[in-house]
Amino acid sequence: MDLQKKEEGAELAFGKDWAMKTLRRYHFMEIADWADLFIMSLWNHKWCITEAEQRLAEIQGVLESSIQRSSCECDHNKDRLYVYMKGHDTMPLSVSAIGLHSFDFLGLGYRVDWPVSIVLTPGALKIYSEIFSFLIKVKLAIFSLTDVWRSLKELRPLISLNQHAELRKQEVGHFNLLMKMRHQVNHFVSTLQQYVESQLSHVSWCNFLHSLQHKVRDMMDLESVHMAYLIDSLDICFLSNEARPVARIIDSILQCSLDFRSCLRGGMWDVGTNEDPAGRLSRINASQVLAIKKTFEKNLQELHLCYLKSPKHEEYGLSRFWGYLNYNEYYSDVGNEMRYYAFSL
Amino acid sequence: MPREIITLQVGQCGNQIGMEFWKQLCLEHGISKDGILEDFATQGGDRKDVFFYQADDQHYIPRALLIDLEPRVINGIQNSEYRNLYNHENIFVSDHGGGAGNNWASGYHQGKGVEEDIMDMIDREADGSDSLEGFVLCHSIAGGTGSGMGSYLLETLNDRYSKKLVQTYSVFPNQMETSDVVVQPYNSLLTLKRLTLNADCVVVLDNTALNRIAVERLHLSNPTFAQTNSLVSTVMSASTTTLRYPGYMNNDLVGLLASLIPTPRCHFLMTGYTPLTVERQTKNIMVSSYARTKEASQAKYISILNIIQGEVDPTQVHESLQRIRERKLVNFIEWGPASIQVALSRKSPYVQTSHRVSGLMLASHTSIRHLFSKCLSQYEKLRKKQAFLDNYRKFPMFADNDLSEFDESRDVIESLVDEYKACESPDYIKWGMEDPGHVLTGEGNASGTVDPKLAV
Repeated sequence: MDLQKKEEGAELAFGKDWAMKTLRRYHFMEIADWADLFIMSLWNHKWCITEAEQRLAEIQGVLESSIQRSSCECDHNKDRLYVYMKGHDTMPLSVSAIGLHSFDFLGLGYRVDWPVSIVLTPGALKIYSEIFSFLIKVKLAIFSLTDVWRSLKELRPLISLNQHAELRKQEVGHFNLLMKMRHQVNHFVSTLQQYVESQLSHVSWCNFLHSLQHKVRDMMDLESVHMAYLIDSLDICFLSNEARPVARIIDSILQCSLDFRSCLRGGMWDVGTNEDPAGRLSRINASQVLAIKKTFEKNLQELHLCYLKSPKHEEYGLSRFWGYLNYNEYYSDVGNEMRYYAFSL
Repeated sequence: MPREIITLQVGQCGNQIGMEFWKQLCLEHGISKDGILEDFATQGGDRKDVFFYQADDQHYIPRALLIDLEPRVINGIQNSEYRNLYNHENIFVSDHGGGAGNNWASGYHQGKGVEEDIMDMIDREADGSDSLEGFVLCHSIAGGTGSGMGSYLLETLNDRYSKKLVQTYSVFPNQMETSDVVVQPYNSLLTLKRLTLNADCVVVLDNTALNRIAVERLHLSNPTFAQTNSLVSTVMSASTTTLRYPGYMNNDLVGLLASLIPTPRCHFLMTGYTPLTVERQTKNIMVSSYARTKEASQAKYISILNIIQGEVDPTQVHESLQRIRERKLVNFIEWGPASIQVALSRKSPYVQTSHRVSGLMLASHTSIRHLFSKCLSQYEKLRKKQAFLDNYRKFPMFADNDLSEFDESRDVIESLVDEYKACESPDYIKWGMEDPGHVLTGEGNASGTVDPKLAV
């Protein structure tokens, strides 16, 4: 039975804008143009209010305006969304450096009425929010890598083709190094995105709809089927207790993506036009690129170890992700350090 | 912040494919020929504002500039059912209306002459955008206006809007036929230089392949331009689907390109679309004229993005990907990781198709270099004979018999071919540079020393 029919079945039972569909849209970013706007606005916002309460109100404003300017503007449930502060931490949001964990303090809540609140318990909503935080980190990483791509594109005319002789070849080398490392890290993050999209937004959702149709007779069944769906979702995003070592590695590689921003000295986003070409290229901080390379490769080796130990042929999890990551066998190639590492175990 | 895109359609071919593109977009978003939202188009969830803006009276107007040096095609648009769709202030036809005579130099020179008028139009459109993402240029590379004036516009956009993206849909001439434009190789080469240096992404639409698809797959014995143009508009609209129907990823052009184009110089994309026929779901790689030669078997994919629209089971997608991998059906680069990215995108609810699923492939494939080599060899043949150069010498860039622009363009394209060839080797990273310390490959050097500047 196809997905559309299952969705129509669920809509008949729970109404067109049923809560889980909305939560999938926002918290699991099934449609994420609003989230792109939200995260970008938070990233670029000049924060000057120090009071937590006021800052939270400001973030709520950013959330509402992001949704308003997105494809979700006509959604009836959008007003149920609110931001809150997780735990009792103070907000670390500082203007100077947005890190991978800058938005960990931020929770995305959803107002529910009875009887939906029987299923969407505070515990369940907390899981939604936890997955949302993970997806924010992935988005931050990809935004940073895209920014680096923009600067590479701006440097492109300088290394273009017939101009090599005029430049120091070492600087062309630095450009190539940055380009290749960005590609490797970008491949990791976009593969992670694709894996998450496919498993979270489609496969587990499809399984959930199937269970709704065949296993739910009362509210208690619904609660347990929904909880099973959330536990699957945590597994997909490597947020379960068992997947903690993998989560740590992924975090570390996502941090590498953010660190790329420091690979061009003197503000990579403001490539001046009067500087001589060699000067502009010499802004590439090759030591920083090499440091990222080292961290990235170390983490990838560790991830490969985790993969070797992980159960194979599972629908979710590391083996599926690694399969996409190593699609062209690059990480099992003879010339690659990874192969040597695997054999030396 | 809709990440707007401004479309520039230049010359006869550019305006023809542009018009087909807008027709398709109107259908998909439920916009009438007059730009009014149809009564049935109530579902929402799409992003019309990337390509259209809304006038005060609720009309949707394409963010498009229609530019030509002769009036025939644009007059045709202005007399068509879609005459009220476009902003008439965004239409530019040169006063003399004499065209560029299939001469790149004439198109380029005339472009320079009307730069101010056209840039005023572009600036006005850009000012009307909230957060301009970039420009899309539709043109052909073989004639005079789309190639010459298009080239001039590419250079100017690069200067004026260096931080914005420039993507082109460039129609390459049919190389199997004798063209009525004898100077086609000159025009193509000079345009290719600008596509290499001044564009961020070029979607190559090869008339040779389009024609072959029309003949072999669609069984049209003598395909018309209108028929091949409709194939082009299908590709154009499908390649912008993720921007217009947002999902989890690929919601903006820069994100799309940053994954597809890892090496900023190798930014030429091939496309394939299925199904082009209802009865046979065959993958058509449009630029595959050279895929059968021995040398082309060395060709490798740098990246692939498949945009799938319609109802599709993700488990089946996964199984297909596994099958492709196990049977080694796709030859990837060896110098870096690569995979087939799949974007499952929503489909317009207002367009009924007989097929349940459709798919577009956008790919960076090194075999594209054979297309460039063919352009180079055709150019060399003509140049050797010193044929038809007088038409170019009439214009300032080539005055006093200064033909260095041709030589420079040839060097740029030769170097581009070399770079694509280098991409086929595992040590592409070392292309065009020296790495005495092997620091870039992480292999260290014989003496165990590294450049102190790079010490970590």
